[in-house]
Amino acid sequence: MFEIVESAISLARVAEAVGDPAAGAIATFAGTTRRTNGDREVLRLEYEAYGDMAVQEFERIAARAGERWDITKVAIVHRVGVVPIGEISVAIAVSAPHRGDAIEACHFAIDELKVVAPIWKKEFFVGGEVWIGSLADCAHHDDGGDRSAAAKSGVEEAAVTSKTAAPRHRHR
Amino acid sequence: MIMVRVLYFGIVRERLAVPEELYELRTGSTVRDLAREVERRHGSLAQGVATIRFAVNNEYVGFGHTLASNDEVAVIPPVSGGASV
Repeated sequence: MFEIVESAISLARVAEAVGDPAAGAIATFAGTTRRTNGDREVLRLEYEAYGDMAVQEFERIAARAGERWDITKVAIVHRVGVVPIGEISVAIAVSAPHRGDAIEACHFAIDELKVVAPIWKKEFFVGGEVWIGSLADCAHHDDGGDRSAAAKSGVEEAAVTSKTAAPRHRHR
Repeated sequence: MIMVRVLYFGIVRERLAVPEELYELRTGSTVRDLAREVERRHGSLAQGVATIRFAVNNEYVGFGHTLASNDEVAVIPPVSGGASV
């Protein structure tokens, strides 16, 4: 199951989609809208996706996970439009014969999605709004963080780079 | 000549105020050539962001990728996970 949806996501439904007699474990992840971002009080998030490509990237992520771990099925569902506080924006489920593979593959899948999926979010907070990942957002918080997973996954890309590029860091 | 469809997303779409446009280019044009044309029409693509990536027909490509007529090109600002590489 690889979907972009416009309404509330049921984590149970996503987990059910990967159920299989070959599996001894199902690992799940749900990303939810948090009510704070640094010192900003978040009102809501709005997600936008390049739908056709996003679904294909979900499939590619699942394929890469399958190359690295012994897994059975993968489901990735992302919501677009407004996602209110506390609601699920993205859900991932991975089934596998053994729990270690399910958990690690699920972790890998969300980390990959964050870097390669053509999905954007805009944060509406008390006092303004900002596209997450833009320079305005980067200026707000620099965690001086770790390497992006894209370097590890070998995503080939062309980059048009701003002359005032922010230091490369990883958002949480 | 070739005709390609260019889709804009996120902060770029918001700034340009259009979701997509058609571009006519010389046969054999690359993504680099297209980027130049887009910037000629709209100014620097990287305004307000650190990097922009491109995809052609749903796959990320490099600047040297040669375009073909009817290609669908997406201009991809930093995605929701955070900074692009």
